[in-house]
Amino acid sequence: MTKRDNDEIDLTSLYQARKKQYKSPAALKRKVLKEAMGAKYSTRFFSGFQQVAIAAGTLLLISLVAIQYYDFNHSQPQLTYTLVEVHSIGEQENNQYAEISRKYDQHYQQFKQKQALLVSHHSKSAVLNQMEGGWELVTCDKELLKVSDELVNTLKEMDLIGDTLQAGDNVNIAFNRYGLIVGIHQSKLNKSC
Amino acid sequence: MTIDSTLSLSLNIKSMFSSGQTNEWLIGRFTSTGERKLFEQLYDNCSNDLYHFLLTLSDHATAKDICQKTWLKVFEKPHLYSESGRFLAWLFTLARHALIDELRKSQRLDCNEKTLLDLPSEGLPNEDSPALALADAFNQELTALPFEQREAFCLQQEGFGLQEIAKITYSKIETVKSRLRYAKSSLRKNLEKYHD
Repeated sequence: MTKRDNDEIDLTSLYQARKKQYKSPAALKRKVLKEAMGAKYSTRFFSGFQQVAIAAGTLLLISLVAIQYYDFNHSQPQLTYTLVEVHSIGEQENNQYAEISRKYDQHYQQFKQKQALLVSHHSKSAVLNQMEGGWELVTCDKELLKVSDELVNTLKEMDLIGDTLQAGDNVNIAFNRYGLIVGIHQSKLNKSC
Repeated sequence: MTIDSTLSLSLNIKSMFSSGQTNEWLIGRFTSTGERKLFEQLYDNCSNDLYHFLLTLSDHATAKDICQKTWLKVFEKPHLYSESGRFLAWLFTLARHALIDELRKSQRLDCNEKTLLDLPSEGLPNEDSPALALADAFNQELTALPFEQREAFCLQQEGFGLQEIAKITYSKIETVKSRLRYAKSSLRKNLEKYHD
């Protein structure tokens, strides 16, 4: 054995000798065991308490469901009256509804046609030459347009002709897609042909 | 075979024969049955080693406190023990964790305390006896070592191999080797005059 080995053994011996001097206190073992057992029993207690609580909760829930079920089956039936008004389409009424529907469709189509009639499609600039005994308008294409008093009055009732027009005014004549006049208004640009 | 592994093996064999059952068997049985006597047997087998280790790294009050916490943890959570390693290594790892936490809390981790000052007077040597003077000097020199060196030295003396020490202290094997070398060198150097 070398000197180094001897040293190693010495250190180990010294360490072991020191260890013998300082042993774990006996009181520590008692304390550890006491606390460990206490923790174990408290854990058991809480575990048992939890189980009891769960069981009691389940029992309560079952009781509530059972009571409700019993009430549902054994309670006296209560009579309540409700006024019921039935709306339905009978054969005769059906014909009336069909007639109404047909008329509605018809009026709607007429309305759409009239609306289409009044939609401006294009316009022309013109000069209002004459307002008596029907209007005379001369377009920039040198066309002479004669508008009857009845049409003028109708257009006026529909607010499609300006109120302030006078002979000699520059106007815009609005035509629909069929070439019918649907409006005569004073030209805002005040331009002449 | 190195001196470390021989020491470790001899301590293991000693442990087996002294208690009749290995600590690993006892913790396994305790995990499944929760029998108090198994826990007591484990405690009897390892409590002195653990207490001395903690005492060397701290003081009486801290060592007792950490011992108690560690054993309670073993009692409450034995299933955390992994069967791949030694029970003693797991126990020391738990204790070291708790100790480091405690020392960090009290900001004593870096200070190099002389715990011997806190030890009872009956442990102090007789000035007239060279053997006791050496023991006294060893105590003083051991507690004067830096924490990591002291820790590594103690663990080796408790029978742990280099790999186990590295695992317990979360260090590299080379670091452990270095700490052990410095610790032993320092102890030898300072004890030389008492040895002669």
